[in-house]
Amino acid sequence: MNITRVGLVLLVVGLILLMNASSSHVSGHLTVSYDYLDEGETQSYVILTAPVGPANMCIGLPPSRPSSMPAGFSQYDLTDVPVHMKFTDTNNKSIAEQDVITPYCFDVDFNARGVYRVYITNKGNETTSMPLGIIFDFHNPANREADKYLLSIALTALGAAITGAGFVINFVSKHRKQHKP
Amino acid sequence: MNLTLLKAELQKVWSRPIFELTLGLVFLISLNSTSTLFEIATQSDLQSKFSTLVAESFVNIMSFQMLPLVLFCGLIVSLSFARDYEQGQMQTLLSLPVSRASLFAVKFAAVVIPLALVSWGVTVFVVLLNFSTAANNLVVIQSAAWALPITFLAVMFYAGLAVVISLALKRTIPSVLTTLITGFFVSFVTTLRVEVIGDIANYLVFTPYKAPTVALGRVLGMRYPEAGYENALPAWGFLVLIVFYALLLLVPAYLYFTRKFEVKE
Repeated sequence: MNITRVGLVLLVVGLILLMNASSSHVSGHLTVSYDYLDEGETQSYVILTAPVGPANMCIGLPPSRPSSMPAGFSQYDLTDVPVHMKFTDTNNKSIAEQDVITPYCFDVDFNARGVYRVYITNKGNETTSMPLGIIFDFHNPANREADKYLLSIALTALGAAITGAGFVINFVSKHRKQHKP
Repeated sequence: MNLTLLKAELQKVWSRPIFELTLGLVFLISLNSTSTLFEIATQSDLQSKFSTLVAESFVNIMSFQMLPLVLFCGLIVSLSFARDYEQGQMQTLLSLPVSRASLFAVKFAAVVIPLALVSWGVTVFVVLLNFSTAANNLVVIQSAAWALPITFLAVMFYAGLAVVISLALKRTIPSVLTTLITGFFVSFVTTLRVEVIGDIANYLVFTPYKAPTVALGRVLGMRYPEAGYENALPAWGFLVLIVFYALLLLVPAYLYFTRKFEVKE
């Protein structure tokens, strides 16, 4: 395989990846709720994510219901519950840790691929569910996968450079052959 | 196997732009068949959730790759076998001091090995792009190790089908068209659901086009519905089935080619 072909292959791969990675594939609202939390109990959520950038995280925000169901339909969907929350990054370093009242929303930035953790301790005096919601803007370009995007640019640039170099080498070698007696 | 002949055959069938087109299309389809990694789980579920996501990605990608692999198998096998018959090069090749079995092996390997490696390489690259984290790379690598032989066996079946068509028609364009039409038709049939064709749709998991993805899913521990026919055989049963399919058309094609039915040295 000659150098032009290697460059062309890298260029093809880079361009396809760029096409995919240049737009956001996460948008909208995702809410999950696992176990019920008794008073003093701690629930830990794990967020396994790509580096998709800024989002809004909500603790204790009930999932959206059909309009026929009134808010607080379930006894376990309580609001105004005092909780202690801790949010750690992929290196297990604490990003935010404080006492808050649900529902509580705050901005987060998923800037690395890996596992983020949220620990929530119920400091109220009732058993309740403790949903965790993540809200992304609708097709915000800032929510594209940062590492894939960088890799795609690197591959495209490398592919273009190698293809260009291959063409130049071919041209020069042909030119030399023509001038040989 | 004659390595010089293999090198020449590889250069012939994978010349520009066949390799670039194959890689591009397989990569595009694989990339679009996976979604961005974003999952919320509990601490205790993390490992099983991650393993499930990786397994689903491998199976999804393999399933979506089926159609382009069938099409490219048809195209490349026709360029390897049918074109040589059409242009009269088969007589030249058979006059070389190489056995027919060796020639068949070279031609078949020149298609199957690169195509399986492209498909598997792209799959692993896309899964690693999505799921690569220092703690979890081992799961991806273990899954990738299973995906290689299964991809290889699946491609062997597609290539076997294309070889049979090429040997029967011996003309490049009709062979390519027949393989493409067969590929499209079979791909369409395997997408049919119970609502359309009734209970027979459940048995599609045993067809050569679905069995490799089910085998991979079962080996990687994917969960299928309790009553689903995916659970009718154990994982090794599906592996045996795809080995059988891989040889099903290959053996008659090999016998036909080596028994000197038409072209004499």
